[in-house]
Amino acid sequence: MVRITSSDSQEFSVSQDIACQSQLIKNMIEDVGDADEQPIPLPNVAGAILQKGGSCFPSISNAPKLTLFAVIEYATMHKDDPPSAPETDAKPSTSEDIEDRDKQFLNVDQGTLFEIILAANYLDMKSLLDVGCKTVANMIKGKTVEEVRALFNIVNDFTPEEEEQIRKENEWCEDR
Amino acid sequence: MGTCMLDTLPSELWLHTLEYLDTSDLITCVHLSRRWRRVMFSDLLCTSLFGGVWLDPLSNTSHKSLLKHGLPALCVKKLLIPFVPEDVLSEDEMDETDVEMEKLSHPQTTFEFPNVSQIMITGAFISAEAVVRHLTPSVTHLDLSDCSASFRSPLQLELLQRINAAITTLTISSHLSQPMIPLLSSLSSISSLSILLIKRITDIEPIVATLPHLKHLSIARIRNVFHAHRFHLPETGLQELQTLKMLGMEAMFTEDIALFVRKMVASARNLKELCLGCNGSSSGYDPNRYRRRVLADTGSGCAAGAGGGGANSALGEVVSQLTREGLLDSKCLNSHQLNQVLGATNADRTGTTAARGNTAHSLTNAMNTNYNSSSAEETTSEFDPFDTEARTDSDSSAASTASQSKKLRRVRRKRVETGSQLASSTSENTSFFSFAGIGEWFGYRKQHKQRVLRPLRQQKELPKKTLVLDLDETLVHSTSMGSRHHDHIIEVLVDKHVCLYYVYKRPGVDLFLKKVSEWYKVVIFTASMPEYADPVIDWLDKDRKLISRRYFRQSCTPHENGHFTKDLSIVEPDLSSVVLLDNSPVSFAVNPENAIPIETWTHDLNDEALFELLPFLDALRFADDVRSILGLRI
Repeated sequence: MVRITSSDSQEFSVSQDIACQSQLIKNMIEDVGDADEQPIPLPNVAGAILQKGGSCFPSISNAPKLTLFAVIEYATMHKDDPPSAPETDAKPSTSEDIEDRDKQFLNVDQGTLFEIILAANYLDMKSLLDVGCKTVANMIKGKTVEEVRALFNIVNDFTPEEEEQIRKENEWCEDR
Repeated sequence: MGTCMLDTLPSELWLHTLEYLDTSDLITCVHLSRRWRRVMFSDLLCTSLFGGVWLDPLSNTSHKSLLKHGLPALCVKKLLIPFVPEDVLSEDEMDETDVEMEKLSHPQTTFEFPNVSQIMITGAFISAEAVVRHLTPSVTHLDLSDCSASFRSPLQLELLQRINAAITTLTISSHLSQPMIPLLSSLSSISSLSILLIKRITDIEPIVATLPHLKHLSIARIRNVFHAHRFHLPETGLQELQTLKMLGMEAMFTEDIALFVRKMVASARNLKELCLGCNGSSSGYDPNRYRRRVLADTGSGCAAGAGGGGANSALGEVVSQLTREGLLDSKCLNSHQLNQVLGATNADRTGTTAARGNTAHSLTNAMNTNYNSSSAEETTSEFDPFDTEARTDSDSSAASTASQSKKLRRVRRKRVETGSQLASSTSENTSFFSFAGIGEWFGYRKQHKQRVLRPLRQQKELPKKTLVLDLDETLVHSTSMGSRHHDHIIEVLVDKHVCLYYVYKRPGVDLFLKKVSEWYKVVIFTASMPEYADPVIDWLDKDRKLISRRYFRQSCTPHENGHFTKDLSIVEPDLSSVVLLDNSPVSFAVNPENAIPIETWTHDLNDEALFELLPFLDALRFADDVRSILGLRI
């Protein structure tokens, strides 16, 4: 078992094979050696955690600080996956091919989703990062500019002249 | 009002997200906000958007970002690095770019394009070397035109190994041809090669020698076909060549072009398609030369058009000669014309129209001369190496003029057809067949859908136009102060006193007179007194063959301040076919639309103004109305 501490000093014990889905933790364990002695601090992962248990998912949307828990949840879910998915191949997969359970897992509010993506990036968990980014991409797909702005609360800070210029550029690109 | 949740993500994660988006969604994203735009441009999202890498045309930092960040996406198939206009970069920034190029050449920097199959770089400020250094085996099309600045440092052996054997289509410009030659030998897979901006045609020799299996060769924008007789192709060269395109050839003397074409065609035994287009004089592509000299910008584009006419007349000649000798099948002939290209330069509409008319003229004219025995002999005898052949040709053509005129008509129809075929084939190839110097060539691309050839008009015997030349400070310079280097001394009786005048020839004046007298009725019109001018002209025209008439001060119209103007209607009532070459603006005050100004010459031994005028004059003789072209200058 590996002990992990989140930024708000909550400690978790996870099995090594789950923890090692994070390249970061894996490297740490390899560097430090026996990990039982000291908990591994993860100061960049904000979310502390309640108890482990998938049943509390509905409450995640109300509790923004569940990231690490969620990440562990994901890692547990995927612990039996082949170690290095064929996604490391040259071609990135399309955003459609998200497993249903992942879809379910990431069906959360935006804040949590981005926290998870950040955590995945920090922990160096490629598969989770990919899934997270795919989910965001799916949110953007097929929407108009206004819809995307509304979705992500993006403020339009272009001047009218700039907008005109961008419009012209796009004419150009459509020509090609 | 909530804040944008996405802002919590760093840009690299945005990019990761964006990799999963389609082009249309990406365009949406550019519109979202400044930060989105910045991320997408400056951090170099590489996707299929625009078919390749996307550099922000608004930002002058994007090219640096390319160098800084490398390319994260793996999905790039076609890397298109467009032209970065020069004014985007100040001098200082260029230096910075150089620094970054050095960084890039550091082995730790990654710059990988694992899946790119086509790379096209036309911006001179992108480190093409860095790109080439990281070429992967997937690259089959490589376009390095206009990368002169990037290849300032010599290529290294490492680069040679990096360029892989998979490349089938390569485009380089002449600046690269020398450093590329050692590389080419490892690239035996190349079947299509385009060389742009050839400075010396001899540059082609070693390239052809290293690529014996070349199937398609395009040579475009040859700056100067000069010394064609020094151009030798290897015995084995071009054996497998099927398509030969020579576009935008420029030469001072059309004979050089013709000889060059002849040599190329003669060594390409299996040629299936020959395309000769946009061939012209040297004026059109380099406006600076003429801005300084003779014509304003608008005029220069036009001059190239007409110049094309001049060159094509010789070309048409050599091509038909080759056909008769069995070296060339008339089926593979694509004599595609140049007006599209010209339309894209800043020649205005009038100029272009005039040029088109001229082109049609000259082509017809060229064909006519081919089948007209006397003129064929006269002209072809200038090709020294082929002198004997030419004579036999003209003999035979004299014998069967009637049958050949039929054939001529057939060939002509063929040309029109093949011309439009070429247009379509060019459009297919546009993605690889790229042109440097974007400006005029871009217009060519846009317009190539239009019909290439206008219907040819039946051409009558072309009457010679009149070229009126000024004497002093245009052709010669005289001074009463002697020096040891004078060319000639003239004794003139002024008021019963003998005055000595030391006369100097402007460089090239003999050649100039010889050439223009073939094309024009040459007339000298000087504001000097006949006592002085007559002996000078006698000296210039020793055999009395070059200059047909002389006009002196008596013919001039007095102007204010003791100047004289020259009324050309005295020389030639039909002002559409008379040209005045003079260094004094006062002289052509009466007929400004007929004038070609030339720089005043007194002593500069490196002066080339007469040489530079030759191609233009060669072309101008085919104009319907010289004023339509010369008038553009006003």
